[in-house]
Amino acid sequence: MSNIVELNNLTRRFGTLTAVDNVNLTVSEGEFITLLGPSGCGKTTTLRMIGGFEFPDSGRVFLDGHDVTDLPPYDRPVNMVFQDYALFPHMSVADNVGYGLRIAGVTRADIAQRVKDALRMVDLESKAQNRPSQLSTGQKQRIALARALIRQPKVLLLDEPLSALDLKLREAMQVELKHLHQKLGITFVMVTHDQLEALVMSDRIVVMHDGALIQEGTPTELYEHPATPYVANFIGTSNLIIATVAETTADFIVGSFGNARLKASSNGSKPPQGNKITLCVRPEKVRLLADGQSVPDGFNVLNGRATEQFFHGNAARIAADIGADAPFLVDMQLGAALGKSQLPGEGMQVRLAIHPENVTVFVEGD
Amino acid sequence: MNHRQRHRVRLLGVVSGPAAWMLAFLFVPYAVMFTYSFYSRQFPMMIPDFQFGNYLSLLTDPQYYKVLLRTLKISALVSILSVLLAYPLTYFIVFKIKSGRTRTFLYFAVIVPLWVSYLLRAYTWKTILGSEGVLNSFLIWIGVLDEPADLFLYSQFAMVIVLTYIYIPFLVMPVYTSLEKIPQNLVEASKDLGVRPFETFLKITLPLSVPGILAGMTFTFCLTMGDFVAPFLVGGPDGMMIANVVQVQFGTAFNWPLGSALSMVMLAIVLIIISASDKFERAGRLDLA
Repeated sequence: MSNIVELNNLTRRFGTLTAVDNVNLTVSEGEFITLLGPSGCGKTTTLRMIGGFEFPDSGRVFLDGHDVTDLPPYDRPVNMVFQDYALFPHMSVADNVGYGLRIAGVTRADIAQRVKDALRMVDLESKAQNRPSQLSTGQKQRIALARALIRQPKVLLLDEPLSALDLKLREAMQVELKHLHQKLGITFVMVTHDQLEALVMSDRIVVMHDGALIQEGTPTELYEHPATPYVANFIGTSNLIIATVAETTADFIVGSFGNARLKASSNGSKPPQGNKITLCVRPEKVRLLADGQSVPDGFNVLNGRATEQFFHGNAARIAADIGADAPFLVDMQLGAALGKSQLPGEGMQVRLAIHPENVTVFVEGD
Repeated sequence: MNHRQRHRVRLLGVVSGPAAWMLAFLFVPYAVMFTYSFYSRQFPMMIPDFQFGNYLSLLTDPQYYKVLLRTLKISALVSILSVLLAYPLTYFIVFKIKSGRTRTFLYFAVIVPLWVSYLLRAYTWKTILGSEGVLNSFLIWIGVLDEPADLFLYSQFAMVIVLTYIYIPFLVMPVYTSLEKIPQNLVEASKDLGVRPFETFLKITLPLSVPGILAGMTFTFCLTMGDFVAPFLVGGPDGMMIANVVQVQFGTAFNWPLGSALSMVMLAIVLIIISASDKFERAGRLDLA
């Protein structure tokens, strides 16, 4: 697969602020890639540099093998879905969608046909003659999508496309966008601050922080093997425990905190004894042991006291005090095997079993 | 008294003051003037009457309808010239000046002459356009003219220039507001869809600023129509406008009925223009939020 987008050492400053700091990224043809991070992390500026709305202070942008760094937006083979859709208020829906074709010198009949096809694609043929102000937010979003796709761009840029929608519609559009991507085979580059959205939709996620690229990988890779505590915390929920290295063996690192010890698979790293480390455990990778249940072979066991209970309907979360700085979270699926009444109440003693494979170690200064 | 009645009384209390003011100083005078316009005149008296002679002479006597047509022509020229000058300037201030402080400063630089006396501003043009003025001296200095030309001052040309200068802020203000309201991502979206900057201006920015242009042109047109100082100062013999004629009728000519009829015609023209522009503006008004 060839690289459709290539960013080389891209840097963009606004005054004293470095919005994008030496970013390198390649996107393969047909990929759905998401730039993920909190607001102000540089993800939107990066997207706007691909679109041609911002120009880098240094570094190059390549699209389909061509250096487009100095080209204006109207000379780039990409189209963008803007955050608030940017539909032209003085034009009908059909004129909005056909706008980019009218200028490009496509014949009138051809435009009409393609507009019709584009509107059918987003299921809004009936709204062709409406003004954008007569549409709901969700409909505006689809029109913006149709307008951007009608020019058959090499890359579709999406700037927080779903952030204005309410939860149900957002979830429906996530699926719809993903299906559209699979059907069209066009490369999608999306920007979002919603980690769940990124996990659901993307082939690959790029996590950004303070203008820099922190980690990139498939959703599974990022979730299972976060490179830094920041990524672990940003994607999903993590228990992060500050600990000291008590022992290092060929296979394990043992960290100690409070009165407890936690054994982690070492994965090759060997921090010296006494060093500060951060241990990371996903709440759903923790097993709550029933009274009298024996600890499974090879598992860590932590003793603690339940402090709070959160009910999510089909799942529950328990916060427990295990002697670490922060409450330790445990997630459980509720169902036939585990009823809500069986959950430990506030103040009850709990025993938690964790497999060393499910403990990630971040060595300080990494 | 229940809540509703109390509310109504309070509303009446708030509205009655301005309403009484409007009635006494706006509607009553207009009604009086409207009545006068049908009176006949026997110098030096005016006789209560109901006849259309005053209006008829406005339409048949060249010294009146010619002035009226001239006034309309000059008003149209002033509002067109104002748009041609003010639109590019305002566009530049709104979109090309990046610093907010500089932008506000330039905007006020355009508006601030409104606080300077009208007469003073009109007189400055006498020193520019006069036979010993800046323009003549400059043209002689660069060799375009051999001797001062008289045609700059005391002409319709001079009036259009002076009135444009005086009323242009009234066009800059609404155009500035309408340009500032246009979301920049619309311009970006247009460029994103392959449209170059100039076509983007024609297809997006210009249509969306039409309400501001209309409002501004209405201001300059109507204000010019009612102006009687500029013709007096720089208009010369063939520069009289309709407001001067009205002034003369109420003054030296002592023909109040004819003056009233003229005023009524002016009022009608202005009202037609305002309601037409309002209608267009409403049709084009869009939710840009």
